[in-house]
Amino acid sequence: MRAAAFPVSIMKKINWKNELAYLWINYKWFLLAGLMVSAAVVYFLLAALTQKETAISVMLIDCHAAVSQETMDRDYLEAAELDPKSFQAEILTGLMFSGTDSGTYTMTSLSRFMSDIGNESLDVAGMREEDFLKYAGSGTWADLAALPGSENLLKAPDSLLMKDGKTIGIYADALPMLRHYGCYEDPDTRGVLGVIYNSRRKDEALRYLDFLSSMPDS
Amino acid sequence: MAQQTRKKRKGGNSSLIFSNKMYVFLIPALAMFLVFWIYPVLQLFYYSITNFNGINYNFDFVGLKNYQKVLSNGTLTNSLKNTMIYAVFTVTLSNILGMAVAMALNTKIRLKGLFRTCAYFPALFSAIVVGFIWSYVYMPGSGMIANLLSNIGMNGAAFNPLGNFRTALYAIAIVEVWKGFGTTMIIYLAGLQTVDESILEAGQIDGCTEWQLISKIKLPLISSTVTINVILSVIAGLKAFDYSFIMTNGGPGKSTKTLMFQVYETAFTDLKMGRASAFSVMAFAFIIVITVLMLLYLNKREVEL
Amino acid sequence: MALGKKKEERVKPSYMKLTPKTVLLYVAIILFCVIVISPLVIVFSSSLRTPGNQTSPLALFIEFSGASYAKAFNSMNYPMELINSFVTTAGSVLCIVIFATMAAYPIGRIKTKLARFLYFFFISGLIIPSQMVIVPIAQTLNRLGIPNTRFTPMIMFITCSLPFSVFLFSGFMKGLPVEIEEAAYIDGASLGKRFTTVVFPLLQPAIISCVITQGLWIWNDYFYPMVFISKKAQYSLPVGMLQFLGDKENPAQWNVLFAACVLCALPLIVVFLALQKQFVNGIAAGAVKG
Repeated sequence: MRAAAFPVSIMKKINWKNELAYLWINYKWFLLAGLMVSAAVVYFLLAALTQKETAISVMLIDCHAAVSQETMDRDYLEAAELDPKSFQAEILTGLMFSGTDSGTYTMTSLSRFMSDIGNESLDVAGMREEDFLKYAGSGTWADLAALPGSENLLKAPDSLLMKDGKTIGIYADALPMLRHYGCYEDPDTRGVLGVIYNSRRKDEALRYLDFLSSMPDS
Repeated sequence: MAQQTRKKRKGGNSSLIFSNKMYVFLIPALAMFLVFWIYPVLQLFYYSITNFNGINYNFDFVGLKNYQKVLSNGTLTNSLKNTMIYAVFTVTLSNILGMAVAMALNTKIRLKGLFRTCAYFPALFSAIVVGFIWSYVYMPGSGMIANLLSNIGMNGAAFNPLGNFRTALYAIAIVEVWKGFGTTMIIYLAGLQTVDESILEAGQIDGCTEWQLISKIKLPLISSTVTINVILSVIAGLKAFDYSFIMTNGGPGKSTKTLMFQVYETAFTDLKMGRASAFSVMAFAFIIVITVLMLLYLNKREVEL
Repeated sequence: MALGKKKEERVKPSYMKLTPKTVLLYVAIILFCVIVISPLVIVFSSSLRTPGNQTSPLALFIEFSGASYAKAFNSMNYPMELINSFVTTAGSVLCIVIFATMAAYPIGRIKTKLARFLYFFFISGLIIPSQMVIVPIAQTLNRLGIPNTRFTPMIMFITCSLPFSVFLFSGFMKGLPVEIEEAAYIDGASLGKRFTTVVFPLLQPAIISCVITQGLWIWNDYFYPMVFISKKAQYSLPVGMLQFLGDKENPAQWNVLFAACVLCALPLIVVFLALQKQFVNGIAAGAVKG
């Protein structure tokens, strides 16, 4: 037997204003949370639908670039003649493995690196030579010689890093565009770039490496 | 009404007021938890029986070899020992400090807000900066504490807590307590404020001393708060990672390698994700056992009002 | 009678008299606060130096310059990151409070084995550190098609907070008297209404504790944003702060880092100070026991 929740006099005044006031007083936090969740879902849907296609995903680790990521993105999109409105290049230059005193930063960079590989969304990665070789032991790098279209890159043998007969990387000092950006200028060690073994855009990766080996205009 | 309460619903042990329909409330939280947390953890369990190295996804099953390796090479016992010492130290210190400060702040003194803010301040800063600062505090010779010791005449240069494998663990535990006691204090404050004034007054009228008031009245009444804080500190202590990473990087030797630090090292430095997963599985089992035991023990001691 | 007395106490708080015992208490507290704050003084004094100054941070307050703050403010793009951090934190905390209180309601009230199992199930989520499961998590998010936007870390913040929050709320709920809900039931309130009008307000002290603790780690967390966000404009404050870290080539960045750290903690300090008054009043008002 449900007792009336409201006295009869108020019940007569059930119009939309009272309803809203009632809802607000009792349910405001829940309404806000519901609103937030719906807004988030809509935001994610919109973001997923309007997302520019990623042309290339690059991680330059320990590189200490002198220019901003946006500059590098823009330069590549121009050179590859891709429309910046529908394509984007993701070049991350802020990650560090050995260049930092803070182990937490290293760990976070590592997690980023590994999870992007796990998503098959990383195409090119550059790091210091000792790290590069360490990851080579885990089968990280694709054999450049086996990729179609890589003949251009393989021209100068001493710019290449070989392991077990496979060409796995290119030294950064052989890439003029990288030196123009100020990357990998540490005199103690050489930077090496390689293509990730499970990249889905290997031809684009090669195009990026070609771009890096071209001469800068200025 | 009486007839309705006598009707037993199917699904046993549910009352009318707290019917099984309440389980609907669980749905959003449970859904997120299962999809974004439990499922990845199950994948971790899966990795523990493979030789996955973190990067290359062409791995094979190796059965229980990872577990055997972990158990046999002694890293588990070392990190277990370190973690237990660290956890016990941080839990006792953090809770006693938090409770003492909360009790002090619960009295009618002036400037309560200021003191509360001061006590909570360390918690507001990021762990990276905190770790860095404390390495300066601990630095031998010119660090803050060393300077203080020299000023009062003791030998400042010999004071090197982070470089000594016997004291390094305690040194970083102190940093953890420094940062964390603010949180325990807040939760104890919340608990203390639910203690009814009249009961305390009755106790004072009956002639209790200050200490008796605390131990016989306040403590039992906030026992659920104590449980919460102790369990949380235990879990946080057993999961300790940040400071052994930021300040000592596991050293000197392997004296500050906690469980989670060892897991990290195996996974990311040695690139043996499969073995690290096996290690984590065993670490989880250990922590769960301890947590459940503590929970059951503390729940039994809770006073129901 | 007792109610009237409490009202009086709230309006005109009576402080303890200055007996020797209370003076000792004051001294102890002040000394304690000084010890606790002292490492942070180093941070503050270093942040007031120019970026290039490399003398040891322990030489306190040797100069007063806003140069580091200016540099930090500009390179971090502070306003944008502040908004990102704020929306992420506020949104996550709101969702956590709602989801966790809802989940804690059956767990705290139903006395079956299933409810106990769920209680331990949620707690077990606390044990797992995020660094280990980040790779499977990233794969799951990718497979579900969730894009890497500035709010993607929110999903993980909510998920990681749930174990602690559910634990906190269900523990608190078990201590709440059942009589009020029974009265509401007799008055004819439905389950949903009972929850929102009776239980939720009663949970206020726990909600405030939850908001403070969870909001804090979400604000300061850099792990999830770094893994999921790629564009500089979408960064949150701690990520922006990390950019000044560990450049072995220019270690002078530490002063700027400290300035950035203070800037990052500043909103928290402001909010905490503001929330304090509400904190005290809210808990005192929400304390209905016995």
